[in-house]
Amino acid sequence: MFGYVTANTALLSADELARWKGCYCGLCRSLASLGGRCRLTLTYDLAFLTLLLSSLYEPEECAAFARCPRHPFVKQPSWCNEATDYAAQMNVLLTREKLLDDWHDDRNPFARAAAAALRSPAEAAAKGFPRQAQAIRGALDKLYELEKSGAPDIDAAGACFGALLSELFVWKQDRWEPELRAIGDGLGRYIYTLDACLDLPADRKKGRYNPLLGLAPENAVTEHFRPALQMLLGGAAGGFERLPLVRDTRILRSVLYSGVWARMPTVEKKEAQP
Amino acid sequence: MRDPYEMLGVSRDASDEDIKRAYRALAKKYHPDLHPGDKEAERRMKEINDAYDRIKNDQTGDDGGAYQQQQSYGQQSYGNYGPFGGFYGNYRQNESQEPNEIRAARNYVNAGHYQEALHVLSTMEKRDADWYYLSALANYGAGNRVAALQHAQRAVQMDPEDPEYQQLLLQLQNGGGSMSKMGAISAWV
Repeated sequence: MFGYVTANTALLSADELARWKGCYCGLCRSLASLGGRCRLTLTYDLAFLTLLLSSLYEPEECAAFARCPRHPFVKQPSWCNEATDYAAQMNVLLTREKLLDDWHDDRNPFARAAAAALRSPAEAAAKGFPRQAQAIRGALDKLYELEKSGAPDIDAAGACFGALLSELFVWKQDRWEPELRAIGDGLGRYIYTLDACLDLPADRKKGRYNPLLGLAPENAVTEHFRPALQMLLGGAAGGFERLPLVRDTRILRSVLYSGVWARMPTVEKKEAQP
Repeated sequence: MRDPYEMLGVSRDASDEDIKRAYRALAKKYHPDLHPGDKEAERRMKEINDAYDRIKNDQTGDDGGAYQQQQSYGQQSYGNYGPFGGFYGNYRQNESQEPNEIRAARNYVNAGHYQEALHVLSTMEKRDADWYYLSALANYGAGNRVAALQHAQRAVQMDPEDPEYQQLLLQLQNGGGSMSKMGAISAWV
């Protein structure tokens, strides 16, 4: 995905930082268990999902302390549970579908090769979670159609990605489904819109499709969209605060209220240059 | 209808975290998986769920089932969730140049997480009028009334033209009284 959904580690205590890193390492280990290449798909976005679902359902955890290809010299603490394994499978599913898209859109041979390497674990995940697999495919197909039509419509495009993520956030269809959907929807729309913001200058220069074209004046910068981004995240925050979470809440809030904005300074720097 | 706080076994001024803890403990106790076919446990579980929903709906100003609908249209705005409601507003003209920490602090304040807001603010060296304004809000929310008043005064000193700073100072000087009239009052006052 995009890697936007990450913690602001500067706000975390040493224990919280270890917990967050352990979540990420656990996700990586769970990915490795799905097949050798899966490890390369690791993103922070799904680490957030792991931590959120772990806090909500509190499944039994198993801790590990070991070396791995990413950390070949120093042993790393990590923890895994059922939520980690779920997030790992979603990660593989999502990455493979995106790679297939890249192959179809740009005829990128690397995307095709990478997608082929993920075929077997992705198909297994799709079999285990058909609802999520269908939602991913459906949303990406719809995005493709929107792009082909050439009509810039950020709300429609953002809604596609919101629908995709909300389906992923609903692990078990229980009483927390509306809240989890709100978080997934808000984050999905936010991620999509932020990504479009970041691409806008280059897309404009090269005459490519961008869902924000026409919405902003010719020389508008990312800041123009800040109120919209803030509003989209508000939907996610509202769902989050309704969930009865007590564990790891400081880490989760450091993602939702701070970490997700981390890309903005990069943009500002880029914009400052002539 | 019984008081939802009483049903969860917490006092009316319990913190958000205490309410969530109490709910979790009771939900674990009466979870249907532990009591298959037990009608009484099922009834209790439903009661606990309803109580939790009612408290949450009160906090966010939602009326029950409206939650789902509102979410799906994406009409909720950031400010609606915190006790300051539309008080701080979602957007300020000069927001575009603000540092990340200020933005994070505002998000925390809007969501009612005052300690986190104070923590972020404490990491900043540059303290302008907006810093003092946010610090005043965060301090007030955290129960630090004197610090809140001092910081609001400082914000007004630094930027006497800003109507929002003046309004906050006035409200604090009135003992926070008019805050409640604006719908900004919440469980923590």
